[in-house]
Amino acid sequence: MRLGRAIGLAISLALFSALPVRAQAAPTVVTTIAQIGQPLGEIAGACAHVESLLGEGVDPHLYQPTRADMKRLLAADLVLANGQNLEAGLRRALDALAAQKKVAYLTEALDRTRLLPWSDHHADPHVWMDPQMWRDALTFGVAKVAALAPGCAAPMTARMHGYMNRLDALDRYIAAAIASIPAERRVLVTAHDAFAYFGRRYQLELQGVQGISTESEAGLARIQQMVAILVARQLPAVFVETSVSDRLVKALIEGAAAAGQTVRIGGTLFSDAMGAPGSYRGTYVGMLDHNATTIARALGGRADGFSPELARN
Amino acid sequence: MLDALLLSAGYNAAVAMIGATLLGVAAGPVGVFMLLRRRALLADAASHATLPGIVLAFLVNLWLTGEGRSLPVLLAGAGAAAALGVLAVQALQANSRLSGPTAIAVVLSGAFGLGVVGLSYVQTLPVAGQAGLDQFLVGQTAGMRLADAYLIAGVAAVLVVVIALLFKELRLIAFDPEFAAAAGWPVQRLDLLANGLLLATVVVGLTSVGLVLIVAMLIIPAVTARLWTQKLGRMALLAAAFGGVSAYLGAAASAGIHHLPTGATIVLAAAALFAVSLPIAPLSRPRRAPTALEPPV
Repeated sequence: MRLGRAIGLAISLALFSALPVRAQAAPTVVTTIAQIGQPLGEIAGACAHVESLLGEGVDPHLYQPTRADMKRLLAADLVLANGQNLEAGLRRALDALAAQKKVAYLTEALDRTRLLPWSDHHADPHVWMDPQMWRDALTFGVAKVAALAPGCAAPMTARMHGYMNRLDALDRYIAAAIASIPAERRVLVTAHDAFAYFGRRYQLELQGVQGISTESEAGLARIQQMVAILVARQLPAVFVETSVSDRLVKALIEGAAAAGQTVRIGGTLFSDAMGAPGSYRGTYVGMLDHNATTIARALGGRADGFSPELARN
Repeated sequence: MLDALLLSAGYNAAVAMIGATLLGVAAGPVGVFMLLRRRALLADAASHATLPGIVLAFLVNLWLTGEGRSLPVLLAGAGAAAALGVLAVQALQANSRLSGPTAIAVVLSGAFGLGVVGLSYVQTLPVAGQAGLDQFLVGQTAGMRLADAYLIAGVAAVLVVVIALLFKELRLIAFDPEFAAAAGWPVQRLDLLANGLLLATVVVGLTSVGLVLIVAMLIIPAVTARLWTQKLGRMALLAAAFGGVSAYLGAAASAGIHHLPTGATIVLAAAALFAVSLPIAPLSRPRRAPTALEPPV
């Protein structure tokens, strides 16, 4: 009798705990940029199948969806995008999906006053450059995923807390690395203005050649102005980005050299796209670590890398 | 603005202004010969055909060396594809009932479509270095470096010398190819040469003003010159002058005034010269025959 009840209890327990998992397979979540998809994939674990549309070195401002992308978007249970018109080429596809109410924009979950101005209609979309803000955006994304996998709330919450603690530690590392640059050289010269949130968070002055979107063409007046800044502030390095052509930045170096100021390429930064999937730089933490470490070292600061992966040999 | 006009707005502005001016000087006369052979739009077909060539060269280079972007390789692909585009137009004209402009329209849009499909395929590849492939569309004149300017200077010099040396022959095939053939001139080879001049201009213009705007540099100064004179020699010189002046003024404006993109401002300057010429030039009004933009007899 006692044995029978014990078996019955065990069976019903097994049934009930297995039920939510068996009732629905892990939901599929498609994200636009990997800055959303990679952390969410890490936090979701086996609770959801998370994939990103945009690969290494791809410019999200210009990306046009292929037919295969449309199929993936349509099949997804949830689509997570950055918003603020970052995905300008994907906009129509996302609008079409929004009719089915399964698209969520991470930047729209943030308080509007925390966003930096851009155009009349949108704020600066490059929010992931500030890990404290991206942390809140990701929290919103995790909640959306968790709603699709109700049985998974506990393990996802645990993993999320672990991840957020890591972001806090990363934030402290970056602040120290940038603060180690001599004050007059705390200027970041890049091809386009993707680093405004990064600059605001870590008190780094920004000078971008091309403006916020990569679609605009630069004028000669801006190029000359940038060269004058390089020479006047005696900046030792400018930076190129993986998702933007380095042509303009190289023209700056040549112009500064003609004015007697030796400037070198301080390194390649990840602005709109992350590194190769599967590598450390292909993770959100690795991307920010790489950027901060590269900038600090090139401008004369001290940075040993947040991860031993970036430690100087 | 005055600094810019006097080439003293700085090193980058000076390099870009000189490079663009040389390109304008070379593109003007080349455009004249295209215009007189009623092939003004061929430049359009050739320049749009470069896009699939650039993408294909990127892919082949990626496959062979693991690194896609290399300017010489991309330009070689662009040149080969532009040549194929021109040949395709001529084959269509010769072997079908399509008229010249129709054949050009087919090749232009087909090649450009292929290029856009290629770009969208490349963006799905998990490789870095694809950034800037689409910048061949509008170019980046402001980012011109000394090496670019030297390349333009070299090509421009070759173009001007070839046109000067073969002026008589080019004039003959421009006005009366049947007579030239009957008189024993190597019309086909001269034709090939004229197309070669066009391709060289398009490819060297790709990096600086981009494939859409190089067409403007070939056609607008030539058309403007056509409004002023009937004499071919003067027309070629005027086109070179208009091309050079509009490039110089456009680049100077972009150096002196903020937020003016260099390539587009150059084209606007060329269009402005045309607009100013139209009401005052002697050959603007249509006459009974031939009309203003047709070859003078």
